[in-house]
Amino acid sequence: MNKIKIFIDSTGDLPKDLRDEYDIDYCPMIVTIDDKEIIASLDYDQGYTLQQFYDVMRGGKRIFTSQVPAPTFVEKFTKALDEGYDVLYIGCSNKLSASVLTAQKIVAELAPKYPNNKIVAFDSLIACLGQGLMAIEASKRRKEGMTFDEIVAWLEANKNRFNQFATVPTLSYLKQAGRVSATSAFFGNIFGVKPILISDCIGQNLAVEKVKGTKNSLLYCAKATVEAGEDLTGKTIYIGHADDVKAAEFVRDEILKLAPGVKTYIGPIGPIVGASTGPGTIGVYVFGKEVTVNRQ
Amino acid sequence: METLSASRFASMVHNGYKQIKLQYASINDLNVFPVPDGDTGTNMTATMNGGIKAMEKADMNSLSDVASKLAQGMLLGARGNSGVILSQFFAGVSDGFSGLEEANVLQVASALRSGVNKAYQAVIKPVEGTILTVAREGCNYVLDNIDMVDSLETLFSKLLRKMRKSLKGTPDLLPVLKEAGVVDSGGAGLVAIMEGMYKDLSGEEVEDSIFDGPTNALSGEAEIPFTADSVLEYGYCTEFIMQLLNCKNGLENFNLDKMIEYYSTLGDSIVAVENQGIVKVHIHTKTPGLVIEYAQRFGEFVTFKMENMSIQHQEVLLKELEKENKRLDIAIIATSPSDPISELFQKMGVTEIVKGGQTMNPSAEDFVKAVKACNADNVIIFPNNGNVLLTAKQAASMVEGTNIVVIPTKSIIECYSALGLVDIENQSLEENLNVIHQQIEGTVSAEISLAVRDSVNNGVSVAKDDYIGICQGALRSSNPNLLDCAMELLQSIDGIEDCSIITVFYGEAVTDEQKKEFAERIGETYPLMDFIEIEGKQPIYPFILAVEQ
Repeated sequence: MNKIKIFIDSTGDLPKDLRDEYDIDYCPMIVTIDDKEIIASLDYDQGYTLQQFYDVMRGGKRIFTSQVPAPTFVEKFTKALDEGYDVLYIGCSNKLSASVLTAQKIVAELAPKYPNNKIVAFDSLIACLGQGLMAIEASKRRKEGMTFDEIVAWLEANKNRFNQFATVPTLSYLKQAGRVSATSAFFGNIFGVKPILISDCIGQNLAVEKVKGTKNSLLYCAKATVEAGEDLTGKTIYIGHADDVKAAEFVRDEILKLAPGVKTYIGPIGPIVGASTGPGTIGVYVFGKEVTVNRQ
Repeated sequence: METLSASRFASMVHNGYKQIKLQYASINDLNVFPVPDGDTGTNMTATMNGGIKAMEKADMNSLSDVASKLAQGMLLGARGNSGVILSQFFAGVSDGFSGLEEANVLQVASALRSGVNKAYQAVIKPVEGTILTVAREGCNYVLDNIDMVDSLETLFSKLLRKMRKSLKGTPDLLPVLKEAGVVDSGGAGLVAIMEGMYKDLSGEEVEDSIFDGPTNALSGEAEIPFTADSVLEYGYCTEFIMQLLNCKNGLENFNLDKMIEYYSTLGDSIVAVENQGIVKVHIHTKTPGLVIEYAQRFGEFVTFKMENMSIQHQEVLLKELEKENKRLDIAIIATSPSDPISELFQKMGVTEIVKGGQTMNPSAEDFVKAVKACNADNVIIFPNNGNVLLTAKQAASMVEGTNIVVIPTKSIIECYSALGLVDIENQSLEENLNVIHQQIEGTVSAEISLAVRDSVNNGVSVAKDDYIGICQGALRSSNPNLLDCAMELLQSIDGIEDCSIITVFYGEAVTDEQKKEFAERIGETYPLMDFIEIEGKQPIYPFILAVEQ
């Protein structure tokens, strides 16, 4: 039986400490700032710190994003295969990025050349720390000794149990990037009204609730996450923030009031998700109830 | 793809429409035949527009019905020579699809040929080197080579290629095109439409653009308002410009007054002028033949236009009907003291605004009018002022057929707060009313105004021309400085530390410096709260404030 290599991509938002802890690698996407292409590093070490990156957006500049380049997949996958690994890539929802589709094509090309290795490009149907959390769950099962096929089967059976509750100061970034689905009621940009965004069961961001005020929207996310997490024993709730640690800490404190003792993790939202959602975004993720909502 | 479904055909035609919309201006520039009036692109696009609108009402499971509604709409909307030929082409295609739910490749090719035949029949003297040639050569080619066609994609790709070739050849057939160095404009229009249709098949959606030409005319569920049993009700709007001719002794014998006298026995709305041998006439008549015959004794027509006014009338009725059909489930009426606030409320979902407030109370009739304009089953009214509440209630009792709920809001703040979370499109009246009441309950409203006299009130002593802060009907603060007065007012609100949002509507007299300083002071005092500034430009109150939980 081969060893298993797990990959995510630049929307998986696992910082270096978590990637090291769970032995997860990632295939970087690309961001374009001022016509300059740079690698979408989850560690913010490509010329822009976390704060500098979001300051660019706060300054009104649009940052463009592009999917994982095909050669990156080929290079990363081939290297792992040559080293004797089976490859499991857990990619960003196909509703948000075409990376997973590109990877699936590459998998089809590589598979015949590596008859003794398994390669799967798995659509996580989510992004941000939800996607990262899925990779962590896969990694835990790898450690427990599950086979490659068993891990993939587990992912397939549980892929809709990764819950997202996110809020953004304004929907305008998501609208501009074409990465949100919502009824007309959400598009008025009404003062003070914050949307709650979930990742629905087919992997699109869906605005499901309007809440008055930033504080109330954060309270909503905390409460909804704890509810969706059901039995939280042994689970970790992941809180991502686009350069707003204070808001993330506020959510953590509220979560701890509702579910004392639960493990939490606060980390930055990566440059790809951040470029599409805007500074100040807070996303809270937990493994729990099955998501069944889908507007289409 | 081997079969053409109704919805696919509709989406192809729609894409074709978008394609010609993109190109209509350049097609206009090609127009030299039969008259170089530069409107072929406009006419064909307008004709398509009529068809597209009619097609929306079709049964999307029946190709036959979609094609027939399209053809009917195009026929009624047809403008210009090329528009008529185009509409006839699609009428022939529709004949070909008659009775079919969907069509295979051979049936599509046959329908196209049927379109060509019908287009030729429409023209008394068909001229080659025009849209007719392009249609004929393209459609015949695919039918003749149907053995080589195994999918719709191939069919339309071959059709398009042949039509383009045919279009290139039009100057060889029609000398006037060659002289002008252009291809035929009608043919170019047809190619554009086919290109859009082909693009749809290959999954490419044509970018939508604005068509600022005339859109049509009779459409939607429009039916020709005439049957064999009809009686002419309105007559014809007849207009012409005529040159008096010497060969008819027109300049000598024509007498404007006599003509008007005679025309008065034939119709009404007569306008007639004569100037240096040119006569211009406008008349509504049921016997246009007599009008024309009389005029032609003296000269010939330079321009001529005649429209059946029953059809124009029908359009007006249709528009009214359309509005009637758009009856809303829930509508919202709000009173607003200023234009910026009206705009804000409309953005937030208010259907009708009634202007008014503290100094200018609207009448019950204003509300009745607004309720009627809403055309809704349920209307929610926000009076937003204590003095307006009764008027709104009175209006509510005067209107029948609409369920009216008056929310007893005393300030625009309560209305503003409620509007943030209402959703009249997706939620029921009951759900919305619940949200409204919750929001109003969770909102504290406060305002600043100027004291008109010295007084002591609620334990606060006030000097004339001081600013006073009022919250929920009670005087809370008084200060000669506007910002101090506002900060004291906010401090007086119970539990403000636990609230989530402060919103301010700046009145018309507030300066930019004051706004800037106020924002800074709010940021210092209430760092954790959202602070929202709105240019309300309302009279009387420099600040209207909302504090929400």
